[in-house]
Amino acid sequence: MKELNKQKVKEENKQVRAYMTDMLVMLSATMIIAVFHYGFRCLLMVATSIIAAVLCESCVDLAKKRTPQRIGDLSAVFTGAAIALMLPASAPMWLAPIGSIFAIAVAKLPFGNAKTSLFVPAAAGFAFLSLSYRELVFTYPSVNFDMSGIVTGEEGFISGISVANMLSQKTSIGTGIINVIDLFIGRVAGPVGTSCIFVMFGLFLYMLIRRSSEWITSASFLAACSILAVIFPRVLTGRSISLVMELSSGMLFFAAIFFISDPVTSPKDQLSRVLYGFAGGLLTMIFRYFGAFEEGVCFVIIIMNALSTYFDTLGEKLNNYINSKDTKSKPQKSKKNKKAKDTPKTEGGYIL
Amino acid sequence: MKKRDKKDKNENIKKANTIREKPVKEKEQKETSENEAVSFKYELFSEVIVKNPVLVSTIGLCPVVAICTSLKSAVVLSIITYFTMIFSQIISASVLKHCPQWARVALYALSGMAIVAPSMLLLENVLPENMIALGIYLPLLAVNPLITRQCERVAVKSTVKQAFVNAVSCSTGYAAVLIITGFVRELLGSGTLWDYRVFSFPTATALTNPFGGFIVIGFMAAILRWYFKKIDPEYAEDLAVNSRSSIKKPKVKKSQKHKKAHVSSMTYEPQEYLPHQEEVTTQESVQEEIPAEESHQEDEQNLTETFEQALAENTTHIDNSEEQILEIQLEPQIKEIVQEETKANKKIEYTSKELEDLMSKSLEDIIKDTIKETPQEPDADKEVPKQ
Repeated sequence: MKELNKQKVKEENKQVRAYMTDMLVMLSATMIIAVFHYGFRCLLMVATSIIAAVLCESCVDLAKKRTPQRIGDLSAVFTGAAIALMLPASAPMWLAPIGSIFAIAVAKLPFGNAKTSLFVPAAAGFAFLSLSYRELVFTYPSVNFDMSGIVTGEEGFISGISVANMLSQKTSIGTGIINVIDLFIGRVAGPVGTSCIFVMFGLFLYMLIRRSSEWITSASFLAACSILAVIFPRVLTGRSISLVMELSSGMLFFAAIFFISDPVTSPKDQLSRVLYGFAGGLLTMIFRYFGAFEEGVCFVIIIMNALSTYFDTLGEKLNNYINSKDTKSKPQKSKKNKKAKDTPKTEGGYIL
Repeated sequence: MKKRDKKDKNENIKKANTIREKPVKEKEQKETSENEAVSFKYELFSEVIVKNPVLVSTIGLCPVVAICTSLKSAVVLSIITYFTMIFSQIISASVLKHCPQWARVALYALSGMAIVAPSMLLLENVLPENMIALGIYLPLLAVNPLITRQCERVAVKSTVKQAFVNAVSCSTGYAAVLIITGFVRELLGSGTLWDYRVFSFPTATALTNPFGGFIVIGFMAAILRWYFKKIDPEYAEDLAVNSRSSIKKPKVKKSQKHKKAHVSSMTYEPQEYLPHQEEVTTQESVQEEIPAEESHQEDEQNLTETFEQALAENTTHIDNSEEQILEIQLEPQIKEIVQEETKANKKIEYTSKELEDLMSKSLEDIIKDTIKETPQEPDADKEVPKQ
């Protein structure tokens, strides 16, 4: 039986590794843009946070004496890289490792391994950082500066105003960054890897092809955000510009692609996934309108992860209701349609 | 090393059992004075560790989570809880025994207020800064649910002495949690201890928020559960069942017991199925492993019965050594069959469920073969002398 258990763990590791390599490929695209805008300091930040996360996980592996070690599934690498990419380029070097250590020690390991975690660890780590080091996390440098000589220090950066901050203060006019192309390329003050919308759209298309069962949550999430952005604009210049600015500011798109579509923490049913994403989108916009921080996506993701089981039961009830209605209205065709109309239940876990 | 561990475990279980049997013994040993000291020790142990008010039954979380952000406030809170607990429990044991139940609960809060109100006035003069930090939560200590629970459960039904002992032991359990959380949150949250700076490294100020208190309490509770598991695994299991009633625990127990009984005679190593050596406390292990076990449970029962019958027919004396030899002989056969099938189907990788199915099927085949062979062998032996 020992060998069977070992093989089970190995297979789980394989599944998670396949999923995580896919995610890391997607993250590397954002990393290239980050290096293009802010220099090689970003890569150093990412490397330190990855090292901290992997060390934290391997310590637990050694302490628990798990024979096929769980480091091999690359989930720790993903959390470390994601946390570092959500921080500003001017952040000190010790900031990202603290977040990644919190993410793995508090948000992941008490609940087991990567296949059984209740919360997205990277979101929890960033939420902790934004609560404890608010000034460091939300002061972004402007992109136009001399890159020579900035590798480890924080002196060369010029402080800029991010789009999310502009939106929260309702001062979109007069800053001179309402060139839409700048917004798309990411030549605006903001987090390291999340500000380039052009890349994010590409990643979304990649997700449509690679993961057919999970893109729907992020799509419904973005739909809810855009609906609220159009109905209640925070910009005086027009509704269409408000839509572009809301979607491109902060880490909304990043969270929509990498965090809320996570197959382990999101509900299993397809209909409940749509509802889950939509509720998450509404909550993020509410956090933006009335919250204390300029960006509250990570808090929303933690809240939604806690509620995902309720969305599962809600989806089941809705499915039963729809099926019963069909049988009442069309009793003759019900037998044929039943098999077709049962929504396909996707298996939980990282399966590509 | 294993023997030593077993001995330690047995001793610990005996200790824990003595604590459980204590209330029965208490009535007998009331009169003797020597046993009172012993009972006080047991009371302390049971109230501080076995049924800690915060970590096991989660009562009185509000002051711990909200204002216990430094050592100083933790000490002030613990002193006030000591006085309120002792005062209200003694009053309820001496005076309130004949009161109707609907009036009692209000009177507990009043008796708590009798201590809290003067202590607030005292604090305003002595430590005005600390008083501001404690805020609204200090008067809320008077209506702490811990006091009402302890009075209603213990103090009303017992004598004054017992009530005093219970109050002291219960409030030490509460104060221990308060002081540990205050220590951790002040050290990591603001980098100081009793307002003296310890280190100047940037600190995690988020721990001074309420959610930091919840995280610290959660980790402490987890450590306590781990300790229970070492001392008395049954108590830890009971706690797990009571706290998570939605998971059907009795099914798990049945399956594991059956497994233990049969598998010990089977080829596999029995230690894999012992519940305490696996990590049963986490939800994942319970949820993941049950369905796989239940699905193959019946098959294996039948298999084991046939296997044992075959063994009984074949050999009269079965020693442990012979069993082991059989086990060793069986395993390579299974491996060979698996390898042959892999060659036939050209499958290199197997999922775990498939492998288990293969194992069960191949075992069936082997047992059928053995049953067929068994009647042939004695006949062959008989035939030889005839010729």
